[in-house]
Amino acid sequence: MARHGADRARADLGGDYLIAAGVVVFASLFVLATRQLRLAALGLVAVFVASNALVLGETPRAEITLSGAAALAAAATLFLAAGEASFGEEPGWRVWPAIAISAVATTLAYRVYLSPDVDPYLQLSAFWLLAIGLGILIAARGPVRTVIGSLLMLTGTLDVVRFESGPHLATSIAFAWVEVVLTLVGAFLITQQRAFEEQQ
Amino acid sequence: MTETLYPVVVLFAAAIVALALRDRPRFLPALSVIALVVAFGLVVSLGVPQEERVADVTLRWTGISRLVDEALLALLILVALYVGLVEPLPEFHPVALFVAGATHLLLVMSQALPLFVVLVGALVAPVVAFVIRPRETRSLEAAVRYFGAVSIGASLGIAALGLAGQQPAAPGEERLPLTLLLVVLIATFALLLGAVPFHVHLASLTSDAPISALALLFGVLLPLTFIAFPMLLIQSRVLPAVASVEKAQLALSALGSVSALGGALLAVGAPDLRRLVAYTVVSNVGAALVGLATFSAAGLVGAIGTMLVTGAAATQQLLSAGALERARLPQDQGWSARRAPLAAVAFMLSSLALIGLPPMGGFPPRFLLQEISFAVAAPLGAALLLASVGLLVAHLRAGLGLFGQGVARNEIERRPVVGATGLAIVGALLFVGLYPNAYLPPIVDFARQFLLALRPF
Repeated sequence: MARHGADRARADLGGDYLIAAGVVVFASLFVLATRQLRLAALGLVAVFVASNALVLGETPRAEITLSGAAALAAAATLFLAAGEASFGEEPGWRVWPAIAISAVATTLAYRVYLSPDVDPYLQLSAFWLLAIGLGILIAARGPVRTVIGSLLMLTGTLDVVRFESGPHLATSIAFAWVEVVLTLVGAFLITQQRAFEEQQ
Repeated sequence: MTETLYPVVVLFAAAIVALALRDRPRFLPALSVIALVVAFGLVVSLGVPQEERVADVTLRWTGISRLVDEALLALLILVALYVGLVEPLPEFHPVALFVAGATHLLLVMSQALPLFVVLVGALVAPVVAFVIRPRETRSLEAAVRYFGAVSIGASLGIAALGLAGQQPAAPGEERLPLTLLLVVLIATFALLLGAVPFHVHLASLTSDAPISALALLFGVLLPLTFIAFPMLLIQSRVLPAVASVEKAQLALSALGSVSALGGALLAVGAPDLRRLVAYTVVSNVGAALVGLATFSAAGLVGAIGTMLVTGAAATQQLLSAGALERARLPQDQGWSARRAPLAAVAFMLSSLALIGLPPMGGFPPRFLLQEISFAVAAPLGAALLLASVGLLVAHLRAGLGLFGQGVARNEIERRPVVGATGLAIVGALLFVGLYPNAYLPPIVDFARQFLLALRPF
């Protein structure tokens, strides 16, 4: 019943969901390509907002508020961990393997796991975020790109969990918890990297 | 607030206080040890079995939860004592308390996804304790590599469990390609457990991270991760499918035997004691995976028993390696028991448990693993036997190196803290070796639950 209502709402808002999925893709590409950590943190906010917008009709508001708050806390922590506007890691050649991996893995996952019961934009967003996060993580060597890749991947996994409509309160709490833990540990690694660079 | 969660509240509160007190290292070890001892007391006082509901999660406290929690908390208390008395490391205490709290939370969880998310939190936290020398980048690079590996494993695992959660309960009605899903899940645990060939992130840590952080990782977190694997399989809906997909069993067995043999070979060529212990743990993880892949009671009991004993023995060996490192002088060649003989003796006695030799606690579960693997397939059994021989050679070589120069009576360390922890751990390992009923019954009960979940129809 809930799914039927959501489907009807979705039919009315099809264009909006397309825009949200587009924002997820382009904002994550921006995060991948940017050098400054603070800009990447802003890009992550866009990814989080668009990703949550995709499940607005089907997920309880409390859960969206919770995951939104955790995402904002994560982005703010990274913004502060950067220390200054210019701090970051030059992506250089690492952009290309990440894009290649994400393109291939998204196509493969979409082809193998596509479910007719789940919104295609949500599936696209989930598989894309998982794939681009994996691409960034595989090519990463420093803490900045490692943290960014892991947060993108985690956002993708939350989308996967939301394939099944309905409440997931415990899962949302657990996700918010792990997102904050990952970000705090990542911020610690980033500050260590900054300290090392300042000593050089 | 439910009684089951009291230890979590105590440990997380203590972790926050320890984080705030990082600049006052004098109070930290005492706080850490007291909180861990209080939590241990609370865990011991909890009756078994218990079931409570919080939010939309059912918390289940069983015999296996209690056994694992008690064993890992006891190890954490010993490592915290070591940090307080021997190797000051302010970052260790909040991390250890957080890991202890997450361990308890994980062991009471009865839903696959929250359980896995808690496991990820526990695995990520030690990164803070891995970075020892901010002026050098090697430990930072190793910590980043570990963080990346755990992040990949975590995300793939959560995604696989999320997709698996949408499967109908009855086998044969699956909507998704299960084989691929299972391969992702197995790859996830291979990455998190550091099974060969997914062990690179662990190998780079062993030479650069502090000993106490390594003891936390190899002694507490890897056994916990392994034990979480069958728990998670029970709670997710994929277990009957795992048994029905022959390739999944084959993949697990192949991964296990490669890791058992590969770890043993790497241990034979290990350049130092830290790596010797790390590769031995990797080899034992492989042997335990083989036991799990048999989907039999004997295999599962052997696997979990092996991992618990491995955790205890590896913790002691790493602490001994730390004591031997500290006792070394710049002019010393190689590793020697000259100045820390008690630590070296504890190292060698723990070797017996790690390899699975009598009379230590590692023997009964290793025997079960060996027996069931030969019963399933002779090559599998031969692989485990070869791995045992490899580990025996590696540890004998280390022992000859340690005691080859004798003992310098005038230079022996004054405070043999690791000798004392060795007395506790080796004593416990000897006791469970002579009397396996002290710890095997809850594991047997768990194996029964596993088999019931495997064939529910």
